[in-house]
Amino acid sequence: MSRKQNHQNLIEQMHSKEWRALPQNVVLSGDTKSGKRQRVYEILRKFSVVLLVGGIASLLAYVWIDMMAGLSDEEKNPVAVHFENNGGLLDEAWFRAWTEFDENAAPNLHHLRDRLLAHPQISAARVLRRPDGMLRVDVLERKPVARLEDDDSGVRFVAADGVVFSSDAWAVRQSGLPILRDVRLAIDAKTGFDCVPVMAKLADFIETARTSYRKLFEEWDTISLRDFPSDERDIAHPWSLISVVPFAAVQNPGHAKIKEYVFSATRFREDLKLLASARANGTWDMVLSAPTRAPAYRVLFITNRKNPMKEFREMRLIPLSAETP
Amino acid sequence: MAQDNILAVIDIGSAETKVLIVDLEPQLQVIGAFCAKTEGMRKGEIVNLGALKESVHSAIRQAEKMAGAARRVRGACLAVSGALVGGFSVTGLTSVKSGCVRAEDKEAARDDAFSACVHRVPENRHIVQHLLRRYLLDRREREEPLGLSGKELTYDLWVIDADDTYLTELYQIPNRYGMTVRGLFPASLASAEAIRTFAQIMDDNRLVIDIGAGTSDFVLFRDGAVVCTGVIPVGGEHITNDMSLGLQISKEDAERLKIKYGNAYAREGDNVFAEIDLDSFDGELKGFSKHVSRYKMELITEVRLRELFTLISKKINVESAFSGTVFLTGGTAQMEGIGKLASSIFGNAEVRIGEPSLSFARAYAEPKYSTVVGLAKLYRDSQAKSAERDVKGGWFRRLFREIF
Repeated sequence: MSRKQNHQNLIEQMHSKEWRALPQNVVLSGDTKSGKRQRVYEILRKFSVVLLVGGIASLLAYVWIDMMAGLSDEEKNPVAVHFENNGGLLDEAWFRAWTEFDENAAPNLHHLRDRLLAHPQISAARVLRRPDGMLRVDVLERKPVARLEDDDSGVRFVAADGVVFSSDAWAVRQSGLPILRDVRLAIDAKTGFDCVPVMAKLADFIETARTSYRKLFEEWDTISLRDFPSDERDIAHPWSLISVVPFAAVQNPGHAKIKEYVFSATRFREDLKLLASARANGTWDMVLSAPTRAPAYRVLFITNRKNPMKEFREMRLIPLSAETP
Repeated sequence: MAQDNILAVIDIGSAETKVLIVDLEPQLQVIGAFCAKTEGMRKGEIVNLGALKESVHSAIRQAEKMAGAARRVRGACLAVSGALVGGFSVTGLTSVKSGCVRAEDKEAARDDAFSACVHRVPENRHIVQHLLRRYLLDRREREEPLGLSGKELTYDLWVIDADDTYLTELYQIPNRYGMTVRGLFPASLASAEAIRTFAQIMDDNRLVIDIGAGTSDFVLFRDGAVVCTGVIPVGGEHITNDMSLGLQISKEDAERLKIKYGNAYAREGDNVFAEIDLDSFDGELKGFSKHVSRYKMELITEVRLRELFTLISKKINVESAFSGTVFLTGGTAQMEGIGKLASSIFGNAEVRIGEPSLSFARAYAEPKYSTVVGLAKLYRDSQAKSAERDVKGGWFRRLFREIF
């Protein structure tokens, strides 16, 4: 016998030798009416507790049985689907095709959700079963902020979180989306899809230009990421740059005045403001039409630190020779 | 309606039965009390169970009325006393295997002591309470041996037991009234607990003697721990009987004489010829003299009390030589000169009269209520300890217990 069992036995022996082990014969005497009342009260109390617990258990059992019966009834009635996309381009037809949905079979909600999330255009998905048996599918689509043009894979789109996806629906609306070049794709750790690293900063730049500097944005064709870092930690370096090639330089390289704009990856707002201001106040045209004008320019933005107390951003037009690409 | 937090605390003495109805929640408080003459009990023993039941039941009824008609008490806490209550010590021994005392060693020593106790308690007796006296590590006393180095650990236990017949008869009294006995404590410990706050300014070496009518209970503490307990079947009633016989007067007159003129220390000198006029009592004259000698009366009292204290002194000196403070409580402790007498017996120790000084029973701060007040406190403390153990049971078990 183990030590613990020995100890337990000993405790029991001690208890059997204590005064509590002697039997007591409690007899209700004195006021018997109150004793009876007390007994009735105790019985009623216990009965009501049993009734309450039993009622709750019955209710849960009814719900469970009804749910099970409902699921088994699916074979008799096809499952209706309500697809909700919050203004996206994907629709119920796409959902049925992508998930190979069989309305006559009992749907596995987890499988449906996992299948939806396997598409790179879907950022979030929720699949619920309503009490009337209808299936409700809510999805959140990724919207593109730029595009990639590959010779072999055609056009692919890049969302604000960096995920790269293909979409026939967006292919029709691709105009207005800048093309990204010199992209070093990575694999997104969370989703496993192809992604453009540090896309959040770039998306911010594109969105700022598109909304606040529309006229400038409409002139752009390509954004080059050759000097743009692929690591978040390198963003703050002064040589983290975003190069933008205007539409005119691509279409007519021989006659385009501006070959490239080079913005800072962190101070692009100031740069865009400077550019817009120069374009608006006539300085820009004055420079471009000066007698000593060069055939083409590269626009750079640098920080003037002559006065350490007051540094500021400056726009420089770097002249390029005719042979400079 | 009955509530589990309402309890009847009953001290059935040879002369008086004291009943307190206490409310245990949220704080201990007395909501009803009554004190009545006890019938059917003599020198701590039950001589007429029926009469005893009637007298106790009427006291309980009166106490319940004071507590309120709606309060129906279902639980009772009793004190045990008398010649049928005894105490003995047992020791448990274990070797400290690792050289350093661990919790397992303490448990093993305690198990050994319990094992010895189970075999030592006779078949016709049951344990009322067991108390840890001390730990001995390699024969040296240790208050807490955990973590100390040694080879042999001893667990010294003091066990208080009582006769089964006595306990069964005692149970019948509240059981017949519809009450379950929920607590049972020795009267000596209860009295000591009641006056303990009063004694806090003193050191922890003390002897508490509760001198009742039929019996005297005592408990010896050393360094705050119980060393031994005992009951001497001598009390105030014996003094009354002796006075009645010695002075040739009725017991009622003797009782009143004792209360008014009683002095434990016979004073010599002019007092030798002093007499008391019994006519002033308006009592029935048993004898043929209207005057009794005051000195003779005091001498009778002194002899009896000296016998009592000597018996106690012999019993406690068997365990260890006493040096500390003596506390006297109980109805007879209020007698004049008793402190001086006790001091002379107990090696000129300091003697004090102990009164209950617990906050919940301020109205009962008399020595004769020590036992009943102490019982309430002991019960509440034991409930608190078992509540702490029950907390480990989990919320579901507590909820289940609460409902059912």
